[in-house]
Formats: sequence, structure tokens, C-alpha cells
Amino acid sequence: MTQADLTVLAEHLSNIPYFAPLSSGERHALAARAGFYTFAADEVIFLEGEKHSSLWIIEDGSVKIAKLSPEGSEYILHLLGPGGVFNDVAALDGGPTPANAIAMTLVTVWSLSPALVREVIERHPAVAQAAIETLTGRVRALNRQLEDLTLYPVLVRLARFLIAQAEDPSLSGPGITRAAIAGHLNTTPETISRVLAKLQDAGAIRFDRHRILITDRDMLRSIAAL
Amino acid sequence: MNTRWKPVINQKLCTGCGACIEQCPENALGQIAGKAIVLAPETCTYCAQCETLCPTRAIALPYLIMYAAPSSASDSTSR
Ligand code: SF4
Ligand code: SF4
Repeated sequence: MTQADLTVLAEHLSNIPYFAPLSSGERHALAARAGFYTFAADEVIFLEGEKHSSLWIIEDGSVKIAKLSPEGSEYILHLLGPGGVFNDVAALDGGPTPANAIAMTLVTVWSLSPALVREVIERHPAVAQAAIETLTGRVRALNRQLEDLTLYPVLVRLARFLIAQAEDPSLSGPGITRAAIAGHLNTTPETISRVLAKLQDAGAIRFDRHRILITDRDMLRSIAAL
Repeated sequence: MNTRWKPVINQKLCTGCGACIEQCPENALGQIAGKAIVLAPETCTYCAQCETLCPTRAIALPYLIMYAAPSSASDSTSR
């Protein structure tokens, strides 16, 4: 590896929150022990479930981190570019790779072996602390993502329900409560409240005392997938 | 204000715990014969606090779902 490569890697390492506590000399020492690889577009870097716990850092190109559903459709979790880091969870716990990593372009990447990562963590408590913070932040972000996923089907059904009600005012008659909407859509009033709030945040509807006003029909129709 | 639109209280479900009466920021609610009632519908702002806190889901706000009126008055002639 050339001297220039090492400097770029050391620079990328300084941008990874958990390597930030290292001194610049320590980061250069770490960079000197990294592996360097090239992948062609569409080439698999690793597949989900492999026993492969290196930490990868992209020098150049784009990588997608994706999972396949049982039906074979792809769900992209992350798209990463230069400086992007992946497989850190496996690198930290030594477990299998959590998703597929596939090169989308010509990709050059460095990899830090699990032994190397472990060595750095054992030597530098500040790195361990920063790694914990990064990972817990990600757990929280995943929780939010999961919440959105479980709310999504309700969002679609509620959007359809609101359109149907607005199209035919006789349906609403004496008014409809959140509990009644929940009954129609087979969910809870609390969920209806949260999804209504999401629709309001998005600008599709607006509450005006006892009225739920559809302020953006096109948006609501597209949410309803109509 | 149209006082037809006000919280609806299911007298069967209401236990008369008084939580909604205490919490209503507009003092719109009261109690008669051990059950909550809407005493001052005109002051109710539809904040939904009563609905959220009622332990038996006895009180709920009915809504009218409709398209927002076109923002410009001339819109009625344009379609
Ligand atoms: S909170 Fe519910 S149960 Fe308690 S008084 Fe109000 S309506 Fe009745
Ligand atoms: S909606 Fe708000 S203002 Fe109206 S009765 Fe309930 S708590 Fe009071």
C-alpha cells in the first residue's frame, strides 16, 4: 500500500466516531495493518450470515447493505459511499454478518480484522465507550424504523378511509370517533391518534376543532396508493 | 360555535372517576348523578385530553371528515 492510501484511510478513521479518540499516530498505525481490496460492480463483498467479522471502510465507490425477504425482494438498509463503514456490529461481537454487502460500482475498501478491532478496544477504553454510544444510537434509530414499518399498513388503510369518508359525507353522519375508526381498521385508538398525527405532520390533513380537513388530496391519495 | 360537536360520553362506560373533569383545561366538563357530562360545549376546544386520559374510554370526540375548502374563493367557478 502506498503512503497516500494510508493517509486517506487514517483520515476516514478519524471520521468514524469510535476511532476518533485515537491519536493521529495511533490511527496511522492502525491503517498500516489494514487489508485493501477491490470489488467490481455487482460483486458480493459478503452475504448475510457469513462468518466474517472484519470491519470495512470504503475508500471509493458505493456499497449497498441489503437484506432479502423470503420472497426474494431486496430491502436496502444503507447505501454507503467513500468513508462509509460497514459490518461493525459483527466486528464488535464476532457474530455472523447481519446483511448482504454488495458493490454497486467499482469499489475499493479497507478491512480491519476482528483481532485488530478487539486489540484497539482493549487498549483504548475511550474507543469502547464511543463504540457503545454509536451502537446504542443505532438501536434507537432501528426502533423508530420498526415503528414506522408497523404503522405503515395502518397509514395506508387510514388514508383510504379518510378519502372514502370525504367522498361520501353521509358516511360520517353524526361524526366518527377515533375509537370507531380504529374499529373499522382493526387497530387501537392510540394507533389511530399517532397515524393521524403523522398525516398532519406530513401536511395531508389538518385538524380544525371537530373537522378533519383533507388539505392535500394528492398526497393522501398517494399515501393510500390509489 | 356549533355546540352540536362536543365530546360524547357513554354513560354506561363512565365510572364517574372525575379524571376528565379535573383535567379539562377549559372546564367544559362536569358531573351529574355520578356521571361525567359536557356542561359547557361552547368552551370545548377539542384538545382531546379527556379522551386520552379516560380509563374506560367512555368519552370520545366525534369528527367530521371532509375536504378542505379550496383556498381561493374563485375556485368554485374554475371547475
Ligand atoms: S374520565 Fe371517563 S370514566 Fe372518568 S368521569 Fe370522565 S368519562 Fe367518566
Ligand atoms: S376536548 Fe379538551 S376542552 Fe374539550 S372537553 Fe375534552 S378536555 Fe375539555
